[in-house]
Amino acid sequence: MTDTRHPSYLELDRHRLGSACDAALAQHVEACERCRAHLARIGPVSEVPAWVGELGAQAVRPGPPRLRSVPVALFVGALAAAAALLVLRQPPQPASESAYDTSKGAPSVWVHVQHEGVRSPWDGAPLASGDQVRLEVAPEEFTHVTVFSIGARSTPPTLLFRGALRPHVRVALDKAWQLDAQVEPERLTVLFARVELSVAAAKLALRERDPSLVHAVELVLPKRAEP
Amino acid sequence: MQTAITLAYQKYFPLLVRKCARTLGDGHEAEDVAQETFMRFAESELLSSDARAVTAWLYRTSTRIAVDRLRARRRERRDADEHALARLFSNDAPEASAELRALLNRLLTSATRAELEAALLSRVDGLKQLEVAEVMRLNERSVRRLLVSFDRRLVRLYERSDA
Repeated sequence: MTDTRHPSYLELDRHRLGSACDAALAQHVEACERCRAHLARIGPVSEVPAWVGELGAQAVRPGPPRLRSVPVALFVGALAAAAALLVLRQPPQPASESAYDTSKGAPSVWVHVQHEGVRSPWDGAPLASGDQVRLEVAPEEFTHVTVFSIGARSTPPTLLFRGALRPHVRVALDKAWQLDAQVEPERLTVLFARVELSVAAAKLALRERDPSLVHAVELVLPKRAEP
Repeated sequence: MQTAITLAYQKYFPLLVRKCARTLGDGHEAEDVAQETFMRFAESELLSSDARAVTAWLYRTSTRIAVDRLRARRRERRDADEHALARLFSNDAPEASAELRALLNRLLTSATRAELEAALLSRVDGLKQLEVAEVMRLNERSVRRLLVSFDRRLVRLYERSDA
């Protein structure tokens, strides 16, 4: 249906960047006025605007996160109980839009996704079976974190991770989870506490959610329906 | 790092702006979406990735942001342009046009987000189904299904405007 005589704009863009090693494409571009016109319209950059320089400055300065999470947050949710636990060797980079806003002083959570070997901040898109998900947290004054997978109503939450944190130190959790083939969104609750909680205490805190004791961040990760 | 971002800007931003302009028309909004996409790109881990991976990411992310913008905009409905409809259904090389965009705008509220993204990539950017699948990280069958579903909506729109 979309098989055209002209290459797609994506192909042309890749040709311009030198990443499309296709002799037929090069021949076509050589002979095609329309495709040459497209490439000609993509002129060189005459001047790099100031905001690009600011991006660079932000990248080299490990300042406070630009986006932060919301108390009992928002959307993204979690990993199936059956999800395999994995360890990612490289820490994720500072988070981007995959983070959520929060009130000042509240802990933050970011989601990083590894899809087909490429890691990137989660962009909100549905995830695929086999994708690996890793969380990065900024605990503020909290010292412990517990991550639960929240299943269906009748099933108890599953403990995925429990560990100590250094207050005010942003860190990637040293475990990642691989999404299973279930279509249902993955739901996670990240529980921050000021003391070490036993599994039972953490589950109780998960249910009670006393804000004087814990801070909960809920995540919902939509999953792509596999054909 | 500053150099890497500057180099990436020089390398990718011009084509990113053109890509956004095909979807949103020339103007501030296309520039704005291109800028937002690039800022996300600068924060991602793709700066040192090869151009093939980067272009796929830029196409995917900018299309997604553009759909959000288009939906937010929700321009007032206009009568269907039969010529534009015919072009959307045709196999000819799709060149972005104001009519095509206007028609897509009419489907913003009824088509799903994925259908819109697939339609924009296929009909406006001229990507083949295999390329749409690569950019959207779907398989070809799913892309085909999205486009068929989108076409059905177009048919209904066409029938309504024809009645």
